[in-house]
Amino acid sequence: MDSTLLSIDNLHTQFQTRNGLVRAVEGVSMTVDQGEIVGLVGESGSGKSVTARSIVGLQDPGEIVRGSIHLDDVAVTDATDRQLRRLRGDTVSMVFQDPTETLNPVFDVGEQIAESIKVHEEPGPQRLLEYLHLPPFSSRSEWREYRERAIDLMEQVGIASPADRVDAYPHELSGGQRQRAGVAIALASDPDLVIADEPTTALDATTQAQLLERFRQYNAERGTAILLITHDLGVVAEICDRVVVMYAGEVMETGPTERILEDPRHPYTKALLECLPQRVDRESRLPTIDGSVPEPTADRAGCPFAPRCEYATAACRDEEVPTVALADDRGSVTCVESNWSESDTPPSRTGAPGARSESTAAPESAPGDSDRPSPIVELEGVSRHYSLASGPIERLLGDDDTLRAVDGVDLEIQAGETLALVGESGCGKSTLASLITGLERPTTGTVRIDGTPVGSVADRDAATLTDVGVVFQDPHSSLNPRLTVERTIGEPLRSVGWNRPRRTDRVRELLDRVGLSEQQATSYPHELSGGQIQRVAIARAIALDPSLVVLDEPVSALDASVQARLLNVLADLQADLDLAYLFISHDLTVVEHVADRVAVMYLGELMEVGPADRVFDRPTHPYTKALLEAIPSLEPDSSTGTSLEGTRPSPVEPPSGCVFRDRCPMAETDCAETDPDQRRLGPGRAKCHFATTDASDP
Amino acid sequence: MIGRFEALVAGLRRRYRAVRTSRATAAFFANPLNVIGLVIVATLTIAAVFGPVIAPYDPTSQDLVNRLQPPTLAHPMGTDQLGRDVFSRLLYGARLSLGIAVAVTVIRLVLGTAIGLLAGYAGGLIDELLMRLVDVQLAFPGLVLALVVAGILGPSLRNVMLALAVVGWASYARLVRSSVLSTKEREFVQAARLMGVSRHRIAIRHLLPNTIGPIIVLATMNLGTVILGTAGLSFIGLGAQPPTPEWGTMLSTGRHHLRGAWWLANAPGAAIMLTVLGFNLLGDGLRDVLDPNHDTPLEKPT
Repeated sequence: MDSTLLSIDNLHTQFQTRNGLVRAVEGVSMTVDQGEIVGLVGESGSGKSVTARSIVGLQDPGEIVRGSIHLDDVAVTDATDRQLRRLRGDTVSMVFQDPTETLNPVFDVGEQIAESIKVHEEPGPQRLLEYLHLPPFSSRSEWREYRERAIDLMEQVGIASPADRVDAYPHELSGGQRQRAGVAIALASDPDLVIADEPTTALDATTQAQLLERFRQYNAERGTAILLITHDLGVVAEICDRVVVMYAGEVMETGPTERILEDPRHPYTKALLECLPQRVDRESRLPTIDGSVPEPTADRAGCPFAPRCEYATAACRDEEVPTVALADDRGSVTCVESNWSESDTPPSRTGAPGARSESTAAPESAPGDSDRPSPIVELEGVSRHYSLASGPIERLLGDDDTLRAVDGVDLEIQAGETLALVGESGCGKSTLASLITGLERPTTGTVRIDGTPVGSVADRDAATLTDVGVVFQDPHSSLNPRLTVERTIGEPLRSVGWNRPRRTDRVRELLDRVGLSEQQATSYPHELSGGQIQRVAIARAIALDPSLVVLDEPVSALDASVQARLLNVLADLQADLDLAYLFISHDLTVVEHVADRVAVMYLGELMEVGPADRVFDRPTHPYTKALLEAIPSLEPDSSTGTSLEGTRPSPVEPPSGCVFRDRCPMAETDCAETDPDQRRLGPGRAKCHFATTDASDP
Repeated sequence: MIGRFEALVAGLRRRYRAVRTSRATAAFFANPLNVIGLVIVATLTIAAVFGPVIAPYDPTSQDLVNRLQPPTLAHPMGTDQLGRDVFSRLLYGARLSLGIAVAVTVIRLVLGTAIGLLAGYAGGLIDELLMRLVDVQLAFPGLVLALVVAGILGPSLRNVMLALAVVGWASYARLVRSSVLSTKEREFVQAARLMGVSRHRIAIRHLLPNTIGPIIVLATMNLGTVILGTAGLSFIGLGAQPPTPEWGTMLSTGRHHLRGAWWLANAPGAAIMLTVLGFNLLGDGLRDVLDPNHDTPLEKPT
């Protein structure tokens, strides 16, 4: 086959660590053809990134112990440094996950892109003096040419007004723009293969959609092959031609995207697909995969997925598992049981649908009902503005720029409901949560909890404080690393004066509720996994029987299967304890699964509020529509509609009139002049001139 | 009661096992320099604790017949101008130097940590005032200020201790404050605030333990410099007075006999150098292990 660009055969990459040998990649074989987009999917720790790094020879400190990698007919494993260097520029280039880390903060982006072009065009020795741009050693005009080409490249990757941005330093760009600059650097050498390692994971859904669209375009225009590494099957469905599913360092299944999504053969692929919230009915529990990824240090025989697989037989555990090639180019499966038919219904899965039906089935009463109970939390015209004046002198000079983090929000949360707050990053979701919990004090407006106006934490009495529990996003910093789980959960109990035996009992009960074992009570946070840490944080939040729990992106740092289990825990707790949730997330698929009502936020203002099914099925606000369109859909053939163009304006100088107007596809002159009012539309409300007409659309 | 005791023992055993098998311990022992530092400090500590038992002679008893003897088996480091055994004096001197170093460092640490914690957590005007105090303290060259204090209070070991304690706390205050400022913004502290945990308790239970790493490093390095400072002040006659076996004083008297009896000045000199080196190596090793910037990852892979 001369069209094969990359072929990996039986690759083994290992790491020598203090805890023994870590087998990160265990016999991976795959190919990427010219002009093909291949997705490499798997949970974290499945060896995706190590595989990618081995391809470009960056596996250090790991070691390739067996197998071969052929890239454009060059054996990477045996290549000399000089060969590798040429290969990395001409044939393959890489886009990394975190754009903040990839770009050098002390050079402007134009410089970095230009350098990439120059290195590619003049592959000879790169003398330091040339890069100093001092007149006798290098000519400035020549460099100017490179920078002009950098501008072209920036335009190609979709950076708006590249001529202005070319002199910007990385910190002056938004996350999406930085990632685009990273892509521009990778594309500068016009490679045959781009390896993109989780390129959109750190980005908002709307930005992700734009970037994926660029990848697709580039692939279509230049015929560049792309190896896309991701844990998000939605992204795969969006742009990939073929998929390789990895688990514990081994390839589980390969095949065309359509076949994998519609007819997965391997139990792991099936389980992975079933965990996705968008595949499951709103009211039912998410299926989960029991257990966790095996320790890569352990010796093992047979299929690595066997301990978690419900079809596993003795043969799976002990014997070598064959890789079965499917007919008609439909890929391959590494599974003993690969020949079962599609009609097979899986035997008892954890949490069969329906277990939760009675709990959340009660629809919350439509606004306007006379017998509506008073809400737990009421926000009335709440705003939070930050003054940007950096000192008393600037303040005296009248430099009163303010950042409107939250602006004029009216919202109420009823007992027992889940209100989801969605929006792009930086739209003020977390600030709004802080206003409710009391970490921030509103500039104007009032926050009422159980009908009484409350201030910040210092002003709240103990009863109000215990009424609201909080779970934060980052598993790394939400627990004190120096306290045991038991102490962490017991802390709120202690602060209201419970004695020790009573605390111990309660902690035990709470651990049981969130699905942790008693042995874990004496663990320290570093001994727990991300999912377990979030469970501890949830146990702490519900320790004092609050009526509202504020969940700030509780699952966004977790893998799909861990996320599904955590969402189930949250659903159970809500059913048992009659909790209300304020669920903050940028992931609309999760929101659609858990929310009773949804509030959409943009630049500190609420754009649309309404029952979840209504907002998702018939969005009235153009911004909500744009957000929904940006969700990568699992239908392989559907292409996203027009994704949101442009970038979010600064909250320091919001556009006049409607804040969304400069990105709104429907904007007209009227939008710039008058700020639209909130319009009541049936059970929901929206802040848009067009809202009524849209609602009547079928 | 017994049950609780057993639980305590089990907990301690668990902690010990955790420490013994932890990556941090392994990382510390992987570097031979760290081990050298630890060995020097451990030897010094043993010498200081068991000095009176090991020492073959009384450090102050004079034997004018055997004065200025070169090192022999009877006197491993020779004798001084009054016939006192240098080795015994060195051992007693270790006791003194280490005792002063620990006392001074503890005073500095407690004072500096308290001030830093208060400044960082309270913020505002209190922070501003305390930090300006720190600035003033840091603007003076430490040893010169100690000289002035010791000079005013009169020459004695106690005054040297006071002088050294007064000048060194500012760096602790800065360190603690900066780490409190960053810890304060972390989510677990906010969570504690939201649960109605008292300010006092947040400071003690949440902020303080998370600042302890860099402080231990600083204190270890400081032990070395304090020993150096004490010896220096004694050398110029502001610290320990002649009959006391103190390294600085010994060095000072030894310099008169440099030509005829080289061991007199070199023995305490080498002791001072080795001690400071040992503490610095140990401090460096601890920094590698405790520095949050290259901490072992907090989270296990899921």
